[in-house]
Amino acid sequence: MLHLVVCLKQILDPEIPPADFKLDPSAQRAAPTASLVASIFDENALEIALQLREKVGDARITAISLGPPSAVDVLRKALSMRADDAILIREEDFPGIDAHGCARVLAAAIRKLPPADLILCGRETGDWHGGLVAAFLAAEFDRPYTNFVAGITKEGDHFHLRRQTEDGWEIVRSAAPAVITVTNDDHNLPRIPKVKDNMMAFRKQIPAWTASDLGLVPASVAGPNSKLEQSRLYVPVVDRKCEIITGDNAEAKARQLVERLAALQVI
Amino acid sequence: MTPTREVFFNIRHVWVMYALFAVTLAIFSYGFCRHWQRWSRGLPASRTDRPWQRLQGLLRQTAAHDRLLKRYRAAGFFHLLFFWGMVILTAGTTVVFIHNDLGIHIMQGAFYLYFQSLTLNIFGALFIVALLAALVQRYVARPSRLKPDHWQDGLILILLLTILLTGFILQGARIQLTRDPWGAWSPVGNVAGSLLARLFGVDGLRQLHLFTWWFHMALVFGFIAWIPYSKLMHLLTAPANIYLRDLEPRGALPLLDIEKTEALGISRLEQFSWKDLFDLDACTECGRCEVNCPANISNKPLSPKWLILDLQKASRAEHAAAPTPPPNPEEPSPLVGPVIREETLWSCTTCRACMEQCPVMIEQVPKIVQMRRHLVMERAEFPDDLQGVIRSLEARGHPYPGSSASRSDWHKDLDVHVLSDKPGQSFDVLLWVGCAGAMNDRSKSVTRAVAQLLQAAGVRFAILSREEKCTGDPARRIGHEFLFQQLAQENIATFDRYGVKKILTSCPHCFNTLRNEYPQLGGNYQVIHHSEFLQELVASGRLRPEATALGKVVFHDPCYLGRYNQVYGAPRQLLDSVPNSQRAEVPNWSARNALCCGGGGGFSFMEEKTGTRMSHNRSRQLVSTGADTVAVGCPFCMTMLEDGVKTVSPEGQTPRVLDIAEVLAQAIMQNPAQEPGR
Repeated sequence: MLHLVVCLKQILDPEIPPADFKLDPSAQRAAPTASLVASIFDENALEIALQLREKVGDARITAISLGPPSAVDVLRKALSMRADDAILIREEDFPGIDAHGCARVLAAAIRKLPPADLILCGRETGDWHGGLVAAFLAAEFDRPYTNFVAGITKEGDHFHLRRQTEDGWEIVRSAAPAVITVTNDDHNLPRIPKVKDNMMAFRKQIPAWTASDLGLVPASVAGPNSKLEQSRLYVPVVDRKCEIITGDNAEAKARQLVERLAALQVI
Repeated sequence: MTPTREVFFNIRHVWVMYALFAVTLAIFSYGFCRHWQRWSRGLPASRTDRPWQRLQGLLRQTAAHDRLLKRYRAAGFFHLLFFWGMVILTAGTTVVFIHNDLGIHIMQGAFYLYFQSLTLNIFGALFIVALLAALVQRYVARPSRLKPDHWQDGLILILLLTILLTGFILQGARIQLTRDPWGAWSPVGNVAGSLLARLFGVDGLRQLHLFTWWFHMALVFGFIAWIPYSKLMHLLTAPANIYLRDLEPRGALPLLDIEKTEALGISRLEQFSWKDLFDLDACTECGRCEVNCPANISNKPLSPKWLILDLQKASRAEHAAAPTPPPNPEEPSPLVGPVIREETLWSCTTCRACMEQCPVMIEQVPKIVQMRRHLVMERAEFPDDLQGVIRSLEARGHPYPGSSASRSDWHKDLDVHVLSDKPGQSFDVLLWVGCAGAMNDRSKSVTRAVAQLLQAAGVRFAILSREEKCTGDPARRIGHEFLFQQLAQENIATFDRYGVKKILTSCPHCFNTLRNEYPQLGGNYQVIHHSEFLQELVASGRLRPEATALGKVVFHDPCYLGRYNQVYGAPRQLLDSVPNSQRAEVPNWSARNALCCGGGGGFSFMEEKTGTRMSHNRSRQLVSTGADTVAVGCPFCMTMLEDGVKTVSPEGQTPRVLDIAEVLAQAIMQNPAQEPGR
């Protein structure tokens, strides 16, 4: 039986109206003015895991999230889409964690599970767009890593990965176990759960693993040990100035325009 | 001598009639019991409470043909003659039965003369007139709603006509042969008798009477026996269906107990209530539902008539094949797909026109929505356009995927009371803005107009701004009952937190759901549409409209304001309150007969993939009134009709589409800078 592990992150809704986006007064994070959703590429990753299970028949899917207590909603959504199990890792145990620390925590959790044949992550999160965790995770496990995967099949012992490139597709034959990141395309649009599955998801228990459950000392993976430090967070102020080009006719206006653009050193 | 007549004049071996009647009753009863058995397969439904109210409605619809006469004057009038002819003649036959078989001699004296002779004669004659009119309607006028013709339709009319004509022949012959001194009280029979006497002579007339008597009897018994096996069944089921009609608020779809229900929605006949199954057999196939159906008019694969008839056929076929219901609910749906196609279910705007027109009060829309529930919740199958809508409702509480608008945008520069900012400050009414009112650019100006009018009238109102979520109306109409209940419960919790009692809204969809559906989930509020609220402000003199360049104005009735909540007067009075305004109506297509703009039931978020555009069809009607302004009272209608009138109007003559609040704002605030909507 295949074991597929999908990592999902809860993020601030990227479709938040710009007018509603505010920063926390501490400026360390965005203020919770909008709803929280699953990062879209992570849901694509879950979708292709579900599709792979449908193709091979015998597979088990574990959804895993490192996040605050609210991240349980993302895991519930994964269960309602018919992931078999879901595990929450308490993010508050790891204050100030960076992408590398994140990968180490996830790896510790995955090691506690039955051996994973494939670990799937979104190609990047929809909030910080770092795109680093999956690669660190592959390094943690010392396994082949393929990014920008949009579709997957299993051929014998190997996975055939359809990888999106700038000008087309690459089909990659990857040894298992493997780590991949998933990008979106028309064929991996996350499914809308059936209501019955939705209700079943609410009845399932979702364990919340702590640092000690994972046998980790927070200070060793997060906080002072973080390699990455956030120095400043701010909303850039875009200054807009509007000038009306005047002139008697089109020719004069065009000349004016060219002169202005030249003066601004745009051309 | 007491006026009366001999009952079995000229007839011997009367026992043969009784024997044949027993056979007739047996055939009738068998057929009727089969129907009964089929209806009993449905789930329980409570439709016998409030008997007095039910009886009143029954009388209004049968004795007075209230609905039929509202739109179909001629056909309604003739059917009324038809109905009363049938009632009076049946009563006459019953009088004979009581007189002769029960031995209670009532068929004599003045009653015999006035009722049994004169009244029966008049109604018999009118019945013939009605039958001839029906034949003309069906075979000469041939309205498309009556198509396709079934051999039964013509046969029923000919059968009744023959029964009536032979009845008059019998009466005339008897009057002649018995030299009936009271013959003149039966004028039609009397004239028929003297004509026949001249043609046949006394002996011939006796023979004719004898033959016609048995023939007439055979036809009547045949008619009775045929009732349960033909369209004639509606003689019984139509009045019963009107009596058993839904007395709950019109706008409330049946609540589904999601936790306790095994199968969500309806995919099999036996999941319908017995009343739903009964509905199927009440259909008279008159096709009036089709005439007003926006989907049918625009060539979508939906006819409310065929929806009901297809279900009827399936129900009868299933029962004939297996008298006990098939036990396996895991089998693929024998209904949604094979009998009622998915495209059919996704063509309905839930505008209620069919239900409003149906003379026997069949409930089409709840059946459609309940089958949609199966598609959406059990199978997770719905049109692609709705995927994003559902996702957005789930994650963001509004149905506009990808929108970057904020619910606070429209009131940025207005001083309005946002409840979360000043939770302690008291207010009289909550202005429920709605998703369109807050996020759709065109509708935002309507919301601003409403807010400015309220401020001008000194109304203490508050808004929820970012705390508002979709009422759940689109989710419920799409069939996603689960999502509807989630959204409704969140909103109810918000209302309760702020102690909201009175809600004002400019969206009829929000209005209907808040008013009629939230009580199902424990949310009871006084909910008012802005047309009524503003009209009251004008009536009480708190707002004084002045003359404005409105021109000729036509009001388009939103389905969820008009048909669902019967608010027809307030918006019109509001428009009339503007001095110099001149109001038009779309002849035959306004108020309860208004054609839907095509924006309800999730259609505001779906592309019309087949047929013509519903909004264009309605726009054509509105533009044909020559109006300069089309007034609306619903954000969906606004979107649909703004697009529609632009397409169908002659160059340079496009009427502008304004919400009634914008019209009023224009008449109150003559400052052109504040003129909304242009």
